[in-house]
Amino acid sequence: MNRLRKAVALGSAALLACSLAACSSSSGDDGDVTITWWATNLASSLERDKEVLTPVLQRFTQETGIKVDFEVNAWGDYYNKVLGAVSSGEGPDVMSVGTTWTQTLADTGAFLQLDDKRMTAVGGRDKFLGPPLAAAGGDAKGGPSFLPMVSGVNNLWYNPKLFAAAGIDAPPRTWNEFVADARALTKDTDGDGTIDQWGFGYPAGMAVELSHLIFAVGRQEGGQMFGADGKPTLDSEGLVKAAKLITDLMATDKVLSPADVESTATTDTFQDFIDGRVAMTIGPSPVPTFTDAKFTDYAGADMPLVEPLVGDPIMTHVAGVNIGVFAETKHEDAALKLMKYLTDEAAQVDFYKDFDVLPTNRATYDSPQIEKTPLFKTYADILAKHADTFPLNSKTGQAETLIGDAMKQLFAQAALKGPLSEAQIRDTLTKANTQLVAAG
Amino acid sequence: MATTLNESPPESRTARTGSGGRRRRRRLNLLPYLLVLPELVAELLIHIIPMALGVWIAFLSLNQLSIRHWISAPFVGLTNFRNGLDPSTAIGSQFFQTLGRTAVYTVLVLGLCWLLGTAAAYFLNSQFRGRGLLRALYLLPFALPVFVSAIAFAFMFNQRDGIVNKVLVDELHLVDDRPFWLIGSNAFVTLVIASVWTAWPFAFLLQLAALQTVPDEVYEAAALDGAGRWRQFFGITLPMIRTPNVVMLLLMFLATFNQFTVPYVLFGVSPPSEATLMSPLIYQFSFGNWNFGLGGAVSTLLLVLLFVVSAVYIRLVMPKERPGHA
Repeated sequence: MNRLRKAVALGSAALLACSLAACSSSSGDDGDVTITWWATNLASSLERDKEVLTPVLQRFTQETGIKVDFEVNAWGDYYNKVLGAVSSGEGPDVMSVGTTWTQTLADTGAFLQLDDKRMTAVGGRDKFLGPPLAAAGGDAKGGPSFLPMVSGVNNLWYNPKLFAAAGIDAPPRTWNEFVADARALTKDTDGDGTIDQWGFGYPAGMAVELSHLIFAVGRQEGGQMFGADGKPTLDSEGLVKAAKLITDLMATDKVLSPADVESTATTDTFQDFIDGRVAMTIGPSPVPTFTDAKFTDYAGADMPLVEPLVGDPIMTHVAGVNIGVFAETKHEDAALKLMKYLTDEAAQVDFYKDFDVLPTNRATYDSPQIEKTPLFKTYADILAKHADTFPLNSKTGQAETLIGDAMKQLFAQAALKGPLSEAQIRDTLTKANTQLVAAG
Repeated sequence: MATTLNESPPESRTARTGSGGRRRRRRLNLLPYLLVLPELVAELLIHIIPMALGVWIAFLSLNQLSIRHWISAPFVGLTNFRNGLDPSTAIGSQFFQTLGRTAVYTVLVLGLCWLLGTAAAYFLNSQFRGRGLLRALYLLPFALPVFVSAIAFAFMFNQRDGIVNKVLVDELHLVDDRPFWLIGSNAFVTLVIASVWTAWPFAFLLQLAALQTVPDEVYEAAALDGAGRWRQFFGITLPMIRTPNVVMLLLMFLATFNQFTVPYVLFGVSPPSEATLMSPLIYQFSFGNWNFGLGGAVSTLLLVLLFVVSAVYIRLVMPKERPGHA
């Protein structure tokens, strides 16, 4: 027994020593600080992201002496990974998150609020453009929990060559023009009896993208995902009408291939665009993918507006990436320095050039290093005049998933059974709303 | 040494031996516990504690906002169970529909796996040239990771470019329009096919092992009595492999009812409602809607259900130990 006791005591002592050693190493050495950052995918591949970010962060280390251990995360299951860090308290010092998760994650209390002192440390509020800062929760009491790192918009992408071949000389401005153009572009080019060029292409099996599309079209139809009292209204009239308009592209207008209901990634649509199978799409920038594929037959334009415009001329949510400091960090100063660096002009120029995203730093827009291409002007104009923050509500994260899933189901019904009635659409959206309410 | 031992009185030697024996027995008694200890700790950490936490979560209002301090999440009693079990609500009706669908799915997959596995094992239990190659070939799906097989099925059943529609529509001209296999009611058919493909080699393997325990003499005697192949199969083979069959069916029932990988890989996070099974539904509640309380409640209900079904099955169907057999 004595031997056993000794063995247990020795084992316990060894465990204690190990855990103490682990604690002391995680607290770090101020002279040689290494912080961790979970970045998110912005380029055409995770490898390309690493290629871009590595020299940017090496510059940061040279300037500050702080090393950054980073990993790039694909968006697919990233939210669950972030929630895992929130629940366990084990996470990186700095985290990138999607703009649509901002409020939900801020309400978990797992990210440091940027009060006046911290905001000054990262360069002050005036450093940032208004819409991206608002989308990062800039107006929150006590300061935002995130900073906007890069911004993006969803807009119309079209193939000018296919437009010219169909005798169309300008991108559509209204929804009716859009449908008419898409019809003209939908054709059987080789005469085998099946359509091989579609006017419009969309990942209709991708819930997240669908939630963003219905947000924008829903706003144009006067629909909101949450009422003024903050209660979920996923089945509001505006959203029902928007869902009808969107699913009719497949079921009634027949300009969107039914096969797209099995498309679960924007890259599927981008590839169809490159292959000449679709003439238009709506979504985030495909430029990094097109550049990698050496594809040049593309142009960007405003997303068409519905007629008559019942609601607001919103074409997109303020997309992009926000960054926040994890509340459990032991390197707050170093983390804030990284946040400042990533939103300073030099890094913002790099991000624009390599990721085709908009800077969030106000001064960067006047930088001589930013080439004012037509695309840049289109993005900037949409961000300034036609973008709005995805609802800043604690339940936004769930709402995004539920309404996206509902749209996915509606598209599946449209592909299988044809046009959907407003009653059918309302029923599906009401079920999603019920689940959102029940989520507590 | 020998002299010393010989000089010791027998009583005292016995006493010493007795005391030493007790010490040895005590040491011997501790050893099994020490050996089992790491396993016990691992079992606690990996199974028991997470399972208990899962049950506890079912009584909490736990979502993404309260997850940071989940231990102090509000206790809501049976609310999550009521939400899950009320068929008049969207969540409750989804639960019951999914439960029924999962039961049908389990019966179909289990039945088909048993039929295929038994037929193949019976066939490959006889001697013929190339038997070894066929055995290896039949086990191939079992050697492949399930998600690899499921990815292959997702490609094969793709509406636009999948091989299934190429054969049905372009080659055989059996249907005019390319059917959808990954959405709508066909998704259930695809799910059953993919699941059977990944699971039937397990039935085959166990049936083959069981068949090899049946002595050839029994068949020879039956043949002499005039029993044909069918009569031999139903009169000899099935009764003699009953015990391994009963165990195999229980194992496969539990694995099939809890199936997650195949539907997740085929359909993604949100499967079509026509092909949603219980485990993906729990995942959807917990990690799609981040309603961990509801996910925990449905998990607990599933745990109880499977426990009860397994207990009844073991009580009614499992062969009892015969007296005299350890």
